[in-house]
Amino acid sequence: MNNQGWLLTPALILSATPALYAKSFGIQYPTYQESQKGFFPQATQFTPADIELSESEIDRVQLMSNVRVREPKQKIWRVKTNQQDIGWFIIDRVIGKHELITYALALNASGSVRGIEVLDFKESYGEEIHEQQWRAQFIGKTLSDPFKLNQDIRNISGATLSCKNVTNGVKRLLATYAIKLK
Amino acid sequence: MTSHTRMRPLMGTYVEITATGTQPLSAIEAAFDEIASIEAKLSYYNPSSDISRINSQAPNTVLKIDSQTWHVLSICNELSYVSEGIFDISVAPKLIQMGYLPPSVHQSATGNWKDILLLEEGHLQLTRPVCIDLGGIAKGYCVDRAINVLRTYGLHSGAVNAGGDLRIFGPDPQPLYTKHPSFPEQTLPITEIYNGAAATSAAYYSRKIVDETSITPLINTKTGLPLPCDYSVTVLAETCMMADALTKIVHSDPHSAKSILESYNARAFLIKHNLDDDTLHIFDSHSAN
Repeated sequence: MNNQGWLLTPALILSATPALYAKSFGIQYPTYQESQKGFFPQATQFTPADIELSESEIDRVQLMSNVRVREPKQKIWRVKTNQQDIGWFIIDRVIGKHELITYALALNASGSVRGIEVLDFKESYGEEIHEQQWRAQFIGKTLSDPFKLNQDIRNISGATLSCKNVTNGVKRLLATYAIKLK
Repeated sequence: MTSHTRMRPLMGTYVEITATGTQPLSAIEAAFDEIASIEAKLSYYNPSSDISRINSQAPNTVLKIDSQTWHVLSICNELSYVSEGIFDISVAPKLIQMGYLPPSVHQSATGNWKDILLLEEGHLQLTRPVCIDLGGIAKGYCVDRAINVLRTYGLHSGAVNAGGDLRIFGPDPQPLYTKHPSFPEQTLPITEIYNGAAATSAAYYSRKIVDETSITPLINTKTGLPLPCDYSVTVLAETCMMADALTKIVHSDPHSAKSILESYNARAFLIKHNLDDDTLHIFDSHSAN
């Protein structure tokens, strides 16, 4: 038939009301200890060095980074190899319109960025419909040949979500480093 | 055999790489490095990237660029040709005007895809100044390159997902999910993919209200107007670069895109949220019609 035919009849029509069927995906991001070892394989010691910013320090961080400080406390480790400082490992959390992300920032002893890694990623936090699945069937599959949901790899194709919130978080942490750790 | 997943911010989005095999972590590390090195060449934001050099290039002189950049541009040129300009990387001035890209001294450039003449590999020449952005294809290309790197590690299986543009390899088909065109927190299993790629074009993360009008960075390059956003388009193709680019063509002109999809051995799902009865209508370019 002609080119336009594919848009005349839907292959499938679904009720847009989500089914009461939730499934959590078993995504294994690294634990913070694994992330520490990944960034600093040569390290012999990770010493907790948590900080809490005072009100005046919060003002200075905000002024320097142009990013709002929501949480004065920051989870930090000082990283050493045989008593020599080799860097810092910081865990931070950012909240966006669509996402709640915990990530690790690794800094070299000079304060330059060694790496950034996401430790936990939740979309649409705080809503009942979090990671709800549709009781739909694959197109081209029948009910007797149901799709397999219990897979290790999840493949979600969607519009691109900007990583601006983590980028801003890193700016804020670099200002925190300059004011509090340097 | 172990399986690991890592996610890092790259290319302006969150890139997730999964590898299953005997040394998955070193494979994942090398794949991230590959993406970072290509991003440095193709980024609109990086002032020393090939793209920034092209945007500041005067017409009628030869410019030498990286062969990877040249390769991506040659695919862009082909897609612009077959889509009669629906796919056009010279859309950047419009995106700047709408606030989706930062201002540029080159945003007054009026050249389009036809003004980029690709000479022998690694060389190009402009007939008019252009302001280009590879946002419609670069992520897909990076995914393909990262998959190539993973494959050199002899893994059992692997997956790269760059903010919704994904490609997988391995012995088993995998379920493919996409998101509700209006409520992205709801995922929908749509089909299976096997050693292939998928990309999606939708407005749920990017739409914003300007002067009481809803706008998106998805532009009809012929009218210069934003596209409707009550539907999303997911394209399956052999490579992620092709899937990424084809979503723009199908989203822009779904009716006439079918023959282009077929010529690239690709398949599209158009998912429309019908507000009248709150149903989802899923159209499949492989359907019998």
